[in-house]
Amino acid sequence: MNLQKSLIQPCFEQLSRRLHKQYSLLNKTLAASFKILYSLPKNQNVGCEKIVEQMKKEIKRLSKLQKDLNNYSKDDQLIIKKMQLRLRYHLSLLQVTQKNKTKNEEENEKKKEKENEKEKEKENDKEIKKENETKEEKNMEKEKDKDIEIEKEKEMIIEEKTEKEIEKEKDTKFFQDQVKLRKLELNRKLTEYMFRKGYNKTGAMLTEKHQFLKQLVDQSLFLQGKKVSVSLSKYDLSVPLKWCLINRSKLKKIDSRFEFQLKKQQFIEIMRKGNRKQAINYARKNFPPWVEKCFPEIKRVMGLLAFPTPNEQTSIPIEEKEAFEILPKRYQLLYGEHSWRKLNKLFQREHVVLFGLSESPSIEVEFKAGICAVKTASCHSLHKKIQSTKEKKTEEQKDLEMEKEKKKKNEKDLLLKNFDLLKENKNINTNDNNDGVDRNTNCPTCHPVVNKIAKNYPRNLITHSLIICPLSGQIMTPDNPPMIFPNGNAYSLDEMKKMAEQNNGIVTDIKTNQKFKFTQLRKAFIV
Amino acid sequence: MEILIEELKTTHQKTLQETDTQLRFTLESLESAVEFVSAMSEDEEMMFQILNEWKDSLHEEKRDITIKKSQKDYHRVLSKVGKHLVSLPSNEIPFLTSKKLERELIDQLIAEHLYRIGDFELADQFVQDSGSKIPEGFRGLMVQMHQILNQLDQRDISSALNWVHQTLQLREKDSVKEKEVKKKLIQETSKNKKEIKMEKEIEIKKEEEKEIEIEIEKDEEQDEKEKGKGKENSQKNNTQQKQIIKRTHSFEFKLHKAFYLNILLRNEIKEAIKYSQKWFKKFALTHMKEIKQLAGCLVYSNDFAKRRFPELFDGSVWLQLHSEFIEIYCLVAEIPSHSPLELLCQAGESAVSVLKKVSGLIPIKTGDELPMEIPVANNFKFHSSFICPVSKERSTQKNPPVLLKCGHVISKSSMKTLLENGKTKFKCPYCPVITNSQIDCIEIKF
Repeated sequence: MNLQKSLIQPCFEQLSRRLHKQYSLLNKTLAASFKILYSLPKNQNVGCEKIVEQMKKEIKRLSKLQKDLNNYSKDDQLIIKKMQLRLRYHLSLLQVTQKNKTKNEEENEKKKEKENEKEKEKENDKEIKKENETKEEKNMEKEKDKDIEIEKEKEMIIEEKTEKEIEKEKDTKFFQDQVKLRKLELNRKLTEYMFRKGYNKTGAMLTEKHQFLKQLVDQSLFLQGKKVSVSLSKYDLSVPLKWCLINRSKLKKIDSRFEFQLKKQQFIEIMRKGNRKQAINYARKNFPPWVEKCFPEIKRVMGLLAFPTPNEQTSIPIEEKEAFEILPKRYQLLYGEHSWRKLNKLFQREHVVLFGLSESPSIEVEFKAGICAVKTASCHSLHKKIQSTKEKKTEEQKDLEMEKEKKKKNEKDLLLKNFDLLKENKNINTNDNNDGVDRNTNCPTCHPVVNKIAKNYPRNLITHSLIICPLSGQIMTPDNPPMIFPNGNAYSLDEMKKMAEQNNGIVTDIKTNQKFKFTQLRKAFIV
Repeated sequence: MEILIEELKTTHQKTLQETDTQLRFTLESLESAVEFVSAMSEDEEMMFQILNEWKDSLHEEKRDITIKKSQKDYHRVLSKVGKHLVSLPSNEIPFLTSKKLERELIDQLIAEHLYRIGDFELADQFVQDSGSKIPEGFRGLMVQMHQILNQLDQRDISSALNWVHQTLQLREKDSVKEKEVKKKLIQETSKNKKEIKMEKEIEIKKEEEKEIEIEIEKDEEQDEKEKGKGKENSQKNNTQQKQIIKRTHSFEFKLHKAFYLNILLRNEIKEAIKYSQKWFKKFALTHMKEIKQLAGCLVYSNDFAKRRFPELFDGSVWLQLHSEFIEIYCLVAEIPSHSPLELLCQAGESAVSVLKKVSGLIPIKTGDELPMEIPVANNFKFHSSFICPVSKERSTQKNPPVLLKCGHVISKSSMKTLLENGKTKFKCPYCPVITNSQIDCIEIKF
């Protein structure tokens, strides 16, 4: 999955915002101080002491500017390093997923990955230590030159340490690195999910356990978003409007109408209290810039002026619908809960799109893609039959019913009449879980919770036959072909051989407990 | 992208330096001017001269403009990065967006996953935060599993043994008759001690096992005839129970084996012999080969044994035990042995890119088959499926695969098409063997 955008764009947005701040700060102070300096009086009337005082003030201001810019830039550098780290992480992940496809390039990529891992861990250590350093420095407020020297010294020490670590790491196996990366990626997705959904405590616990995750997950972003959505749920528009102000330029780029929606809601709220004049003034101020894009919506909202407001009927809270039954439905909706909920949804979407993330948390997307890849018709068919019957019945009753249905179908089949195997055979294709075979309880789509989700998603197209031995759980190959019993069941050759050796050439069909001779089995060639 | 970001880094540093130096120059000139002026505070005319000179120099140098210009490069590179990011494709796949109904279910799955990993604090916190429900007893199961696993990692097999004995007892309650017969066997075997006689016993036992199996068969045939819910379940459970008993039995042997190898590593040969005499009797029937190998290790010295059987002495036995225990524990508890969330996310990694490409071209309907195949590794395949080589259709119960005389398999419908006008014989599409559709064919259930 192309994580690049979602990993790097938040950092980029942070950087550009900071740059904006810095630049405006720079401009302001420069303009102010230079204005004063240029306008220092030429006359001798003003006392020289005052002039000296003014100049000293400007010295203070400019030196303050210098310090501020330096502090800003240190944090900026950290953010840039974060971006680089995330890029490298993404690249090594890509290599890992591609390796599953190409086995030939393993050796070359082993070396690359090891280097990446080492670099990662180097930078991990460096950054943790640098972060601690920067915090200390801020508290102490030392001068810049000394700071730079101290940093250099510490860098030297860090490099020495990591060299020792590299020597130790030479012995680690490649597979372990891959497993760690995978776990880290899963944890990253889980933490992102936690923060997105607002489960902040669990998210905090996760980041404490795996410190590296702090570099990879944008906690502050989601916390900000939560603030806005909380205020929306409390019917408060001030926080969202602020947020819009801050992000105005970017929202323009996305061509978003969120700000207009907020202003529309504000208009509705003013109308709700009955202040028509105030509402009209508000509309005159705020709606014109949006006329190009949102004219129909503006027209509809202004239509509220024509109808009696809720306040004029009786004083009622927001949820009551009875009072404004006079209004046609469209206008009722505007006054109701519905518009607030819409706002909230719109915010969630815009907030996430701004920073390059996907609408739904990445763990959900991958999980569902996995369902599409792994789901087969046999995972799903039990669910279909359950749907036809009442859901309150127990599993045993369901099995009975399924057997009855299948009996009717199979009565015509000559071959199967002779065997009382109908019961067991019916369950094979529908739900392998009940088969007395262990391997298929492991199928993730057969898990009851996953099954509920999976019914809405398509299954994977299968172009080649794949037969799994019910006894050993292994995939049957031309070397280990299926052996067909006279009753139609199939097991792998290896298992049948074993069984025959242990039982004097007699093999039993596990599903029906019938016994046959090994020689009665017929080999099947699957193309 | 990497190049861009490196460029960003370098330009950032440069601009920082430049602004810094420019500011420094201005400050220096300011300070020197202040010094001069304060030195000349007595002579006002001189002071103003110096001031004016200094002001002129300020105007000439135009420091403020140079400071602003120094930020230029950094701005430029940053905007480049921004443009590049915008050009990257979005991560959206339309038909995979989240829906309300799924959220609770996904929370449930995540809770289960966290319990499986063994991180109970985190999982409990998550359950609190999200309010998701877990199936009853799941937490308790996982707690027990992790307790035993922790002990195993410290090379202590006592709790694992306890669990094994418990499960065996529970399972064997159902098959009481088997127990009685086994007792008879044990009584007979307790008289003989030498290996040759053990082999004879093995043969005797095999015969007796057949008798047992025939008896069990009779029981099960009776079960088949009787219609009833509980008895049908017991039939299925019997086969399942057998499997479980077999596997726990061999797992127990592996436990003892690992402990025995541990004793050997410490060179305590007498203890090893005692241990093996105590515990290996049970497994004489099923694991004789391995017992022989282990007994042979007694003779070798430690170093030689390590060279001869490296896989036994390098600690991999314990790792295998760890993973096997998880599998067996989950088998007995009837839950999947790997977290479904983890498995599906792994499978989804490669699937997402394929789905993105396709969803842009063809609208994907839910509940149907995908229009293209997502390549998936073999360890994600849990169900059998047969595709007829002739018609490329998936076989179902209405259209089962059919085994021909020559051993090739095609679907029933394609067999019907090969039969012309009520004839019964036809030629296999792959080899020139004639099959009689009524006599030679068997329908297969995969």
